[in-house]
Amino acid sequence: MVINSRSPLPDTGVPGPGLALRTGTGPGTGLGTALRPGPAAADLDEVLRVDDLHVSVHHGAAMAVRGISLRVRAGEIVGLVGESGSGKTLTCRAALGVLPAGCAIEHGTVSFAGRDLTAAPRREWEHVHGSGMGAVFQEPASYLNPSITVGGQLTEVLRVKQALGRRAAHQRALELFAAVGLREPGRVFHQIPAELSGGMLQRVMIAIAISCGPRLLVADEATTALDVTIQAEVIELLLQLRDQTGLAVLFVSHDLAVVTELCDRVVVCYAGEVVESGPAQEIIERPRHPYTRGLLQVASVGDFRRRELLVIAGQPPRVGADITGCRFAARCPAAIAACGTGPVSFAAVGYHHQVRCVRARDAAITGELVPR
Amino acid sequence: MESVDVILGRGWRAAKVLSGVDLRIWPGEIVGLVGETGSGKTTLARTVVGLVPPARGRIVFDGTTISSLRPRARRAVRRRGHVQLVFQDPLRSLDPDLTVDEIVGEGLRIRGEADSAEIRRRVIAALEQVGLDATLLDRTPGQISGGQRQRVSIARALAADPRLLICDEPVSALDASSRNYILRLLQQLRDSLGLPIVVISHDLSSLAGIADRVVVLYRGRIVEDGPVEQVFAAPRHPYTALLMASAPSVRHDRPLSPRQLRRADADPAPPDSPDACVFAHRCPFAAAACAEQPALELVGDRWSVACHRREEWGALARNRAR
Repeated sequence: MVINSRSPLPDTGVPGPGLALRTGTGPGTGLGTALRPGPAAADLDEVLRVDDLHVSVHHGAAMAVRGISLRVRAGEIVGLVGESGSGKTLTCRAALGVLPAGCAIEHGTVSFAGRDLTAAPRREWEHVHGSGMGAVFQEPASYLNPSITVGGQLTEVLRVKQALGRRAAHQRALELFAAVGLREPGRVFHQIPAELSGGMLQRVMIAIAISCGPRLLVADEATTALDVTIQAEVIELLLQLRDQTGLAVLFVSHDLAVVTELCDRVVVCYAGEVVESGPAQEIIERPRHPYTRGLLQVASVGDFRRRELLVIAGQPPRVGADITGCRFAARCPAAIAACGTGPVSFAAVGYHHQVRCVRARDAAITGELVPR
Repeated sequence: MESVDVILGRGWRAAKVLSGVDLRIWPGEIVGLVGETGSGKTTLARTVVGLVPPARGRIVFDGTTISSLRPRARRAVRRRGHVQLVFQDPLRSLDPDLTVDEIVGEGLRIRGEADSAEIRRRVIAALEQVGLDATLLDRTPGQISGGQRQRVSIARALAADPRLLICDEPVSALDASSRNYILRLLQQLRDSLGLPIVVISHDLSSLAGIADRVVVLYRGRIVEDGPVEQVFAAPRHPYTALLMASAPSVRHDRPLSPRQLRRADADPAPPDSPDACVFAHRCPFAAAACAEQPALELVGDRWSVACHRREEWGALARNRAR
């Protein structure tokens, strides 16, 4: 299935090659538009669904994820943004079924392709890993065996997961290396990780992650440690894979600027809760939550003029801290007495745009933020 | 620094990490040093501090040629602490077993010029300069936040009363908000102390907020060096332009896309000569002239560029497919 919403280069407004439009995806789909809520998409398209997820850490001592919900549809790239300690990495680990020791899902569900996997046994997860979901993390070198050629590591996956023969696996590996933009697949195949650069290793990791045709790719800070030029190339590669194969991507990052380069929808986390979610373009142009507005102001927004560097005052609360009302109130420039009185609802403020803020509809704190 | 070459390793392993680097830092100036992994940014910083001896060229600090000093004299210069380094990841560069007090005062204690009351006073003064209070003195690096840790490493550098501060990727390990806090702090230090600061970073956009001058390094050579506003308004080297085009942006209004500045398979092969321009193998605009390494040439007031095609590539890039 080929789905398009944005060309691989989001700033051009010109659709890329190999473009095919799917009919009936709703009003958001159109040439050159970055707004794609995809509301009419049937639930059949839903690849990942996380509902009201609560994850405890330190063997139940603290609740680090407090009711995060998100869904990723086929061909959609969803960005999960937040500072360190916001619960974004735990959420994506729970979605992958690989929570670290001492962490547990206390409440809520994780479903993949319509199947509830929250309490699934290890065997069932093993079936999903690789074939259904792929994952890419921050430091590619630490996920690869340093003494085995990268080609060997990719063919191992193909032979185990897809029962390919030696020759077929080799052939498929070369195709995959070419597909992720490695210039000389035949040469790279026989190299060990130490002989490749960071950008090439991340491409190898992506090749391994997509080798068995997964429907979902989870990328946790996958471009954070890369040089900017390489980061731009990896982002283009992910967009291209999505356009060609309809891959769904959950992209986790602390950098809102990177997320808006790539994603159709953005989910902003703060202290274990989702504070805002919506179409990426909508979030950039009309952020409603003061935290999202703060993140946009401090992000490297692609502004090369001399300017004052802004900061979000204060520190995020301790992991698992019990706070009545809004968890951001202590740092919020717009906080009022009502913010501290009780739970704040996650309410719709626009088309597929939801915000957890008492003052979400208050004109005093809304309006355009990014200077044009 | 005058035409400095640095060679690391010996025999067949020897690699020229810096070639012909000329760099002047003036008092009260913030210089942003930009380049990718392996471009020699960190080696440059280590050479200035005197941790790496240059193979060729001179390093002059405040009138003293430190590169020609004997090891003992060089160590004495280093001990005086006039040039201070701040490293990327404070969790790894600070001793996890020492308290903030011990970390910040360690250099002063080793120099042994002050008594313990005086050291204590200077430690607290240094912490105040970075916006931390004395309640943190007895904590260890593991007990404070990432932003606070990086402020402690800056306080440690300030306690030595430096005349040049070099920060090696001071903010890469931090969230965007703490990143801006640290950069603002560096700017305040420059304003209040007149302290020249070199900031090594790959985040061009935040450098634009604080630096006066930007120096772009590619494979051990300076390819562009100029006033930050002018360079970022209209870069004259295609590599600087590529770095800017690749920087993530929420505005989506770049003048050039990364693809217009990247070599495509269809582009003519770059000149294959050992003296070729360091960037030629990645440059879509490389021509016959690029078989020879271009020298840094002045293109404006204190603005120099090393590119044979600096007048032509801009128009060529705009004509390429985005």
